[in-house]
This record gives sequence, structure tokens and C-alpha cells, in this order.
Amino acid sequence: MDDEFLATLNTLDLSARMPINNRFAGVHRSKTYGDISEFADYREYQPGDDLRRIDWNLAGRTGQYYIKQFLDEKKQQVRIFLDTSLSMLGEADSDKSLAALRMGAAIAYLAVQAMDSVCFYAMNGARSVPVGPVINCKSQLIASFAELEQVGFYGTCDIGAAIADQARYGGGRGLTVILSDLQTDSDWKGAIRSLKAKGQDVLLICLLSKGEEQPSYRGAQSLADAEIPEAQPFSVEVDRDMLHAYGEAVQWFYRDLEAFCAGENVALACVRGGDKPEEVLLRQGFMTGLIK
Amino acid sequence: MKILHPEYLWMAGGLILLIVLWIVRPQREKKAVSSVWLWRLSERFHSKRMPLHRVKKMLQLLLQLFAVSAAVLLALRPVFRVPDAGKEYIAVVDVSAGMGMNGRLEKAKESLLRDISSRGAGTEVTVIAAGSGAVTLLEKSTNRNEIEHAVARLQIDWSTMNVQAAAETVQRMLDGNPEAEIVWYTGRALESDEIVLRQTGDTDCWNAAVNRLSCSRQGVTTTFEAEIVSYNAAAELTCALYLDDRIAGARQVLLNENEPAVIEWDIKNASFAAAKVVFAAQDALQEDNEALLVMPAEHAVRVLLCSDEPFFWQQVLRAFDTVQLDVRGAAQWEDTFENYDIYVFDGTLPKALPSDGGIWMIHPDRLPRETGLLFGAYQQGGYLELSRGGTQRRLQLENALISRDIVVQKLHQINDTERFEIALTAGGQPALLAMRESNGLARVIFTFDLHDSNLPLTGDFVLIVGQLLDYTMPELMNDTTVNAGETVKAAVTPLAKEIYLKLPDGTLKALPFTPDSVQFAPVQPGMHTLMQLKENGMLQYADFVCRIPPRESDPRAGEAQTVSLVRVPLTEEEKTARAEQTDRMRDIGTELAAVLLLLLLLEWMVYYHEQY
Repeated sequence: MDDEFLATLNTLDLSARMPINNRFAGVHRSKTYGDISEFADYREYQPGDDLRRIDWNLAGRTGQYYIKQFLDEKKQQVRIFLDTSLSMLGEADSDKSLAALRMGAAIAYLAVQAMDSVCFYAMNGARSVPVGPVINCKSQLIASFAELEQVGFYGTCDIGAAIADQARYGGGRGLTVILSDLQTDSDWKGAIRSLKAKGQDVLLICLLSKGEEQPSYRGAQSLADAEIPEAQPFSVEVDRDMLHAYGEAVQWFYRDLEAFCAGENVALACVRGGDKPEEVLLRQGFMTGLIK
Repeated sequence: MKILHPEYLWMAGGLILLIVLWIVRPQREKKAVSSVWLWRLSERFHSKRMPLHRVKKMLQLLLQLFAVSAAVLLALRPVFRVPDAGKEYIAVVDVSAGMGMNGRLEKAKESLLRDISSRGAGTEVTVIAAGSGAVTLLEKSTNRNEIEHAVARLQIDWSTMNVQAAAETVQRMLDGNPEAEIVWYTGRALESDEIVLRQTGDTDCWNAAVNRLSCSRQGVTTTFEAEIVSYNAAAELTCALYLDDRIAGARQVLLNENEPAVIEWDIKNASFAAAKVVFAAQDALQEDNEALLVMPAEHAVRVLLCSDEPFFWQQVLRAFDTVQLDVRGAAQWEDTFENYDIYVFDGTLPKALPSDGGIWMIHPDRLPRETGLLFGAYQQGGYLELSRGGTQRRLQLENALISRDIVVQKLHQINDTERFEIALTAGGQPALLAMRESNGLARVIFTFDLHDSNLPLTGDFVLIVGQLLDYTMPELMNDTTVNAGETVKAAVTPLAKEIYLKLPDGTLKALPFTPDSVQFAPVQPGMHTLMQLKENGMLQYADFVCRIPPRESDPRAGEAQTVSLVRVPLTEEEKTARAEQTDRMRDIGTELAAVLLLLLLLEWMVYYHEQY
């Protein structure tokens, strides 16, 4: 991240679109009432209540005793799931993995700035492995960048299974960020639905390189899938009709993604070929209300 | 199928070469991509968009194979036997004068085109115009444009339909294809089981016509007689007589239905070249509302008589009004002879005979070498008699010799008469011989001296000379009125170089002719002129009138004429032989070349589509 982008990030806050239920205090509103910050309502005094919370001014005017109630502000737990399959390395002209790391780092920075706790998970195969400890401050975040750079991209990734695997590392409300190219037949939609069912706010970041959106090669091709090198190569005649069908497939992919996210109230950011990840993050963050 | 150039069969090896090249073509390029997930997805869209995309992969190869195949076939030049499977439709259209009534011919044309349209595209159509003869305007054509063009060429020829001639033409076609459908478009009644009759026109329509015009002289009075008929209705008409385009009389005439009426005009001191009787009526056929009559032109016959004792000949020749006679004595014989129609040499001959007229040699002292004849010694004569040879065909002397007591005292013996026809004999010897040269010039030889005979004292002398004049200078035409479509036989004037027929519309038509006669069949109603141009530049002509045959003025169908047609089914052998004759060998080279070009174009389009 360059300095200019960091300066921009310093002016921004990561908001929780859903109420937070957490043990730690933070900057995000919680569904439970507390005594720390913002006034919310009155209720009649009941025996056992803290006498300091009685609004004496109101008691003087009404002769009744009311207790002041405040919204509790809690820390948000942000989990960033990074697809570390081989497909994320992209092709010669682009590196989706780098873009994913930059996006993840930026979101983590925003989260830390909002006094949220952040944890990175590397999804590979059917598992999600934490990348470093939980980050609660900027110094920890800077330290975690070095660990992020060490993340290896290899093999395949079953996003659905990998996200389900994160349940082992705790749950509850919070923000889940998934960074992937979603070029998989795994049931990632089901995984996201289960996250939503648990009250998680989900930000889905889809990354496709320019070469994936608009292949530059033509003619008879034998395409080997980088994730499954042992698989039978995919033979295709890349001609005008096939390219047209490919374009239709890409469009269908995005439409399906948008329809799913709209239906499940999932924030979506698509980093398409040629987009700068930072710009996409800011644009989509503002649009979805994740950043304010 | 027949291959015209089998030696190019080696080119078919190109097909094998193409397939081998296809098999050993560069294999697919191997490429590693981050994921083929989108490609698999796109294949579903591709399959949905192009269900036959697998075939399309082979399209270029298929097009190339087809192109090479077309090229090989083009080189081999295959020809196919195309069976003459189409039905044959023979349309006989009456173009006689009667078809001119109330647009009958136009209705026939419309009916014909409708009938052909309903027959289907493969029908072979033959169109025959049945007028004075049968003219095949189109034979076995399936081309719609040709058919329409042939139908448009159908024109009235103002004659009577020659049913026999048309039937003979149709029969020839029927012999070739007994299954042909014959449809006859006419306003007349015809009878035949083999034809379909399309009656075109209203047989109840009214038509009036001048059927005949003649004249006769008695003293100073010329009587003109016109026969007028009104068909299908009684009528009152005003008829006028014109002499040389000047009105000479008019009559109101009441005509009963279908009954001819005769109108007469007596004109005194009439002098005319052409007479015309005409009436104005809005009837079915306008062209028969007038009749023309021309008087035969009397051409002067210039005769040169060379004689020291010209008395008899001079007297007899001067008896003919048309003869312009010049007489020369022996002293002038050797002058140049020219510009006479007939030269009469009495007693002797010049050294060189004239070549521009007929020559009568009256008892010459010798005979020219070109005649092939030689005089022998004098023989004793006898009664003058008609020869039994063929001379009468030209020298019609049957009625000439009235007396049986014409005697010739003596006459020359003649050695050989092969080229000459003997007209008269005396004592068994030829007394009068005649022949016509190939250029039409007549040669007449009297083998006796008139002074040795009592012939000049008889009336037969005038008759014989008159016949000789006619023989030497024949009248071009005997009749001055002919029916349209009838064949006219006219005499050919000696030394005729070219003969033309001037039609009523002013056009000149050159006619072929023989020295004996010229034959033609005029079809345009009106005044015609037969013109004969002689080698010496002089022109001889005869006017005559061509009229619509009176039968054609009658709109009624009339009695049914039988059309004799026979359909003889073909035997299997004949069918096979006919197929050999009629089937066409069709060369498909043009089509193959077009297909080859199309394939190459398609191939290029596919290549372009794939590349760009």
C-alpha cells in the first residue's frame, strides 16, 4: 500500500452493517444496552438498579425515577478469508494473489483503525488456516504483513468447505471477507448462506484478471488447468463464436454473482481486469455501506 | 452419365491429399491457464448458440473437399442424359382472316397463355400458326419468354385456315409423341377426337362484306357488279363506287340476313385503272368492307420486222393494238439490233442475232449454230396440222387452227429437233418450232415460206401470230383478283433479272423464280404489284388485288371440318429409340463452375470468419 492510499484509509471507518455482539468494547453499535456511550432510552427504576444511572433532572421534573439506558459499543471481529489456490496466481499478465493480498491488507487496516480485531485465514483444499495471530492494533497489523507475504498459493481450494472449517476458530457476529476468483464448483454459496444465518456480515471480493475476461489467444488450444495439472487438458477452438460464448459466460458469471449477493444481502466487490484493487475497495465499500 | 475427359481422373487424388493434410495438420497449442472453469461454462453457451458447432469444426475441410470434388468433376466434364419427360402441348392457332373479327386472335392468345400457365413449367410447348399454310413459330420449348415471344408473333394472315396443312404438321409431331396434347384455337368448327377445340370469338356477331366486284363492257357502257352480304343481321348500307379514287356512284342497299345482294352501276365511257366499292359500317371486320378491281395493264410489245417482202407480216402484226411495229429492209439488216421485244427475221438472218428479245425466224436461208438445228433439203409439204408433241403447253394452238385446209407446198427438212418443240407439222415434217432459252427468250422457226402456203390468206394466221405473241411475250398474270393465301403462279418475262412483289403497305419483297414461272402467296389484302426487272433495265409489271376470301367474312362457325389426325401408340422399341433421339445430353460444366466458385467463396468467408 502506498502512502497516499494509507492516508486515504486513515480518513475512513469500517462500519458494521449488522449489530455486534461481542465481549470487547469497540466503536461499533451493539444490540445490547450498556453504560459506556450513546443514550438510547429511559426505563422506570427497579430495585437493585445502579442509583448513579437515575436521571435526577427528570426525577425532579416528573417526580418519577427513570434509569438512563445507553447503546453498548462493541468490537467487531473481522475474518478475512484468502483463496490461496493456484488459480489465484493468475496468468502472465496479472497476479490476482497480489491484488487479493492488497485488498485484504487494506480491509484489515480499516478494521484495526476501527478498533476491530482482525484475523487472516488462508483457504486451501477444504481447510482454512489462520495466518498469524488475531490483530488488534496497527503494530500487530504491520507485523502481520510480513506473514501475509509468506502465504503460499498452491493446489486447489474448496471455498465452501474451507469457510465451514472456520467455525473451529470461533463464530458469532462480525464481518467475514472472502477474497477469491470463485472459479470453482464448490458450494461457496451455501457457505455464505450459513455465515449469514449466523449473523455474519459478508463482503465477497471476486477477482478476475483481464486475461480471464478477454482471452488473447486464438485457434486450436489445449488448455491445462493450473489448479489440476493432472486433469485432461480442455480442448477448444478459440474462434469468433467461441469467444462470443466465452463473453456470455463471463457476463452470466457476474450477473449470477450479483443476483446471489443482492438476494443474500452480501456486499460484493468485483476486481475486474484492469481495475485497481484500492479503487474497487473504496468504491464498493462506500456503495455497500461498509466504509464511511 | 458420360465422362468426356476421363484422363483428368488423377485430380481426385487431391481429395486424399486434403484428408491427409487435415490429419497431419499442426496440433493444438498447449497453454496453461489459471482455471478452465469459465471455458467449461462458455462451452455450454456455445453449444446452446451453435448446436452444430462440432460440424462447423469440420466445415472448412468439408468445403475444401467439395471444392476439390467440383474441380475434378469440372475437369472430367460429365454429361447427363436428360429424359424428355415433360408433357408436350401443341397449340394450333387459327390466324385466318376470320380471326380478325372483334379481336378473336387476341382472345386466342390470352387463352393460350392461360392454358400454358396451368400446365406447369416442364411442359414443352409448340406453337403453330394455321393460316394459308402451317408455320411452326416455336417447337418444344419450356422457356416462358420464348413462348410469350412466339405467341406475340401470331398475326392475322387474312387468308383461309388451311386445316389440312396444319393437320399434316401436327401429325408429324404426333408421330413423334403420340401423347402430345393438341389444342386448336379457332372460331371455326372442327371435328376430331384427337384435339381439344378452343372456340375463340363470338359467332353471332354482325359482319357485312363486299364479296365480289366485277365489271363488263358493252359498247360504251361499263357495268360494275358488286355482291354484298350481311351476316347474322339484316342491314341497310350505303355503298359507293369509286373509279380511280373518284366517286362514280352510290347506292342505298337493304340487306337481308345472310342473303347476298348484287348492286349494279352502269357507267358510260368509263376509263379507269382501278375501281373500288366500299361501305362504312362498324361491323366485326373492317377489312372486308371494300372490294377493289384493277384492269390488266396493256404493255406495248415492240416488234422489229426485217423483211424484203413484209406485206403479210406487216398486216398481221398491225392487227394487234399492243404491237408497236418497226420494219426494216434487207439493206438495214446489219444495223445494231436492240431494245425490241420481238425480232421477226423473214427470209434470212443477220450475222449476229440480237440478245435482248424473242426471235422469230421465218423460213431463214440458214439456221444459227446455237439453235443446234440444220436445214436439210426441201421436202414436199402437206396440210398444216397440230403436232402431237408437248408444245401445246405453251403454244396453245388447239383453238388456233380452225381450217383443216391450210396447205404448205414445201418446207425445209430439219435434222434434229430435240431442243425445240414442234407446234405444227406439214406432211409429217416440222413446220413451226418453238423453244425458250434459259433466260426466257423465245425462239420460233417457220420452216416454210409464207408464199409457199395459203396460211396468210386464212384467219388462222392471225390466231397463230397472236399465240406466238403471247408465247414470246407472256402476260404476267391471268387474274387480277386473288384470294389471300392462295398460291399465285405468274409468268416470267424474258430476260427477267429480279422479280419483286410490292405489297399494299409499300414494302418490296424479292421473289425467287424460274424462267418459266414465279409463285407466291400474297396475304395482305389490297393492291399488289408484281414487278419484273429485265436485264436491259426495263421494268414489266402487273397489278392485282388480293382480297380476303369471302368465306372469312362469315362469322359463323360453319360446317365442321374434319381434322384427320391419328395417334399411333409407340412400341417399346420406338419409345427407346425416341428417347435416344429426344433426350438431351446435358453438360453441367457451367453449373459445376458456378458451384466451384461458390464453394471457394464460402471457404474464404469461413476462413475470414474464423480469423477475424
